[in-house]
Amino acid sequence: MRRPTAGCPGAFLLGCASLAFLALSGCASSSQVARQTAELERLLSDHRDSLYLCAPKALARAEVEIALARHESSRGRPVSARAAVDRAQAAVREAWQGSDDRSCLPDSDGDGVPDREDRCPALPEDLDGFQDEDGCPDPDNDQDGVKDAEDACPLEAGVAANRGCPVLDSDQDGLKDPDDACPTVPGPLVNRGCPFQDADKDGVEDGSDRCPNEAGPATNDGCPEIQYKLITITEDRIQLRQKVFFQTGKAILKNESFGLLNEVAQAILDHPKFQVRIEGHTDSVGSDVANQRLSQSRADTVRRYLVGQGVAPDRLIAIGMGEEVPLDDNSTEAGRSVNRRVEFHILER
Amino acid sequence: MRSVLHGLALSALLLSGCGPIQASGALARAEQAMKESRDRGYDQDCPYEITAAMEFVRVARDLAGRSEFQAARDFANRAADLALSMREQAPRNARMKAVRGGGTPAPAPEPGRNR
Repeated sequence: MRRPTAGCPGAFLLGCASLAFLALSGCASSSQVARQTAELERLLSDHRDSLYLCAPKALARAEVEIALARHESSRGRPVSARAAVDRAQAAVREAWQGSDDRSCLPDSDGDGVPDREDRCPALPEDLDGFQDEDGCPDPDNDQDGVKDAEDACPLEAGVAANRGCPVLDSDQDGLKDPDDACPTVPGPLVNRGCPFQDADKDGVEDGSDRCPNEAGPATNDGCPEIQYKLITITEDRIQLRQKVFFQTGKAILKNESFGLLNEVAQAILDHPKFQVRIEGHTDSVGSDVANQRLSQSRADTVRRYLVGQGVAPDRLIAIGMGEEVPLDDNSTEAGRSVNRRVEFHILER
Repeated sequence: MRSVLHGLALSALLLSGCGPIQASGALARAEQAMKESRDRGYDQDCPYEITAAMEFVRVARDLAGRSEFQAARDFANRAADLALSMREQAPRNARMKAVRGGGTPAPAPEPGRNR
């Protein structure tokens, strides 16, 4: 009698290998089934509350198939266990699709916001159209301290005195309507929100009109321009109709200049906001240094005279320009006469 | 010696018959509990419990058919437990359903009446 393995050692080895392969595949399958079963159980456990409400039948089938899979696996029947896991997976998929319906999710406070999305699961949302998605009631939407039920403007912060509505400044003049005597017409605070009248109809409101009953340009604060005989006030100058005369080569005023300078002083006094720069100019006769010095001395002399007439010193600046800014030809006597001059520039008005 | 052998044979026969009897009994109890819950209308508010009970019974029958009586009995017992739990679960579920639906919960049906 021949021994079974003696004539066929190759077939024997092949059989052993097949058995080993089946055993190994069986082990692999069992562990895979165990892992998938545990995974399905974890998934169901995490979402059981919502699945119980949304997909109860699918949940039930899934759980029974998982129990069966465990049983089959424990009995060493991986194929049957595998089939049960497949059925469980199908049921879980079905349950998952069913759980998309928000209406069946747990909602402890019954406000329509499922507990899993509800920041206040024990407090029902007030469903007033303001932040209703978070599930929390908002008793004072605009947080102005006036409860929505008593707030005439629940979405706009306001004050209790105005039933929760904001106090408006309709004319946007900086004064709230209740305090504004003219709520629809802008006006300054000092006039309780009403515009100043313009009694003299000169375009300058009475509040800023130094002469509210006499028409005058805004450039003169609403007062009529004073008509001077020897000077004219322009936008940036006090123009002289005469010259300021000095003794030749000196910074001493001649008597005939006093009337002119008196009128300049009066003009400055008449315009209290005027700041004036007094410029002294010479012709080109003599050295530059001497002319510079002479022009400065003459400007200083004029300044002192005006101060003597009552003009505040800090409103006047005296500056010598020398021969640097001629108006005419220094080669003729007429031109040099024009260049020797004093100018009054209005710096502020 | 012969009487000893007879005794052992009888014990083996009794023990082997014990499994099917216990499994059958558990299945009968489970089915009876499910029937009573249905008759009381609890299944309307307990779709999970009634479905799980039915599935456990189905599996228990299948296992009993494969002579896995112990497992069949376990599954049948789980079905019976679920069916019995519906008595307490049904009113709770009905209340929750009413809250979600904004209505009032329907009164529990009288025992023995179909819904």
